[in-house]
Amino acid sequence: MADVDRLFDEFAAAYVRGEQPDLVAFVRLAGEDGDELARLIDVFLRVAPAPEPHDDDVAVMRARLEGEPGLIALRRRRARKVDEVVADLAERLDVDDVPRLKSYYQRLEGGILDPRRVDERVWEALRGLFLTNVRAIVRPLTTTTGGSAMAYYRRGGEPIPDLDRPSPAPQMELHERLAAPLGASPPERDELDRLFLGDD
Amino acid sequence: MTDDDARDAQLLEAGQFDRLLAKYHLVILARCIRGTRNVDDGQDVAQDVEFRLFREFQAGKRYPGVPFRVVVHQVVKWTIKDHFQGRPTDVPLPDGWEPGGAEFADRAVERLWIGELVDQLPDVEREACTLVYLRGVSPEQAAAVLGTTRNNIDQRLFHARRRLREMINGDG
Repeated sequence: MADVDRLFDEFAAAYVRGEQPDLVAFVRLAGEDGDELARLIDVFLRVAPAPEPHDDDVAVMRARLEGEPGLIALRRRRARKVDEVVADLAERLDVDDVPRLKSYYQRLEGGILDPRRVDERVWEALRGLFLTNVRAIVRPLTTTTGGSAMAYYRRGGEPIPDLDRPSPAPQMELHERLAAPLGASPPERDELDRLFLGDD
Repeated sequence: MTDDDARDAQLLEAGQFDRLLAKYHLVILARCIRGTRNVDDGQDVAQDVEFRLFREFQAGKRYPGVPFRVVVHQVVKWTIKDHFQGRPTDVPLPDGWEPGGAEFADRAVERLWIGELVDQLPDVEREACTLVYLRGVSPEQAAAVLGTTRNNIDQRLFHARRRLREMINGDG
């Protein structure tokens, strides 16, 4: 229970400072005590005044309500092009295969890569790049037909698109991206694959 | 209505739905994760809650005299109920629903108004909780304000959390 207390204190302190603590990460960190932590945080949030959101949070929410991934909205707010972000990311992650990194980044940004599999190093790099907790922004994305991308990952079983296939164009509609056929995954994963797809 | 409720009402009237929903995003998410007892389901349901509220706002729905946070919790409650009854949670809310109706008397919703949980704590624990958790004062600052030590504040918070847990367990 000590971990639950510690995690609750950390969450509450961040919330009252006006941050948007990553609730999902906190609950997952609590492991078997996740339910207990979720209940404590829920009650806390019922009585604590909600801080005014930052403009980043508002922009991300606006994007999601319009069916656009939040990370794209954040990147635009930072006035960064995809290639600039990818170049920065390649440096931070010490990756040489920039075209394949770009493909992964675009899938993550577009909400079609399961964020639960993405390595902590990628989140840290993105945090340094965007100066905010990107993991909390890459969330299940509602499709134009009303389903959620997270449910899509769960139903689909194999969330890995064909890595040899060129990344979908950024302007492609989300439902088109989700409807795109999945190819076979590569026989072996290298370090870059593992950064975005995990070890499974 | 509190000042915060009045501010929410202003945002709603000004059509700043995105700002309002961003403000309450964590509140909605926490309710949904707790309600579904599953992080992934909670995220899905929370997203549907936000879309439902957004559609209501866009359709011109307003809730005179009812704090926005009460509306939020009502929609969360209905959406979680739909989730468990196997009904779609991403469809519009029923026509004519009113957060000030019979559901408004729901015990859990009423608690929102008065911060009953914190109010039930003994004085020393409530003071520490209010300063650290509700006003964002650091434990060190709280110790200075209350004329005690940091260790004593930690102890008060520890006991307060334990009591809160007991209250939550009796929350149904």
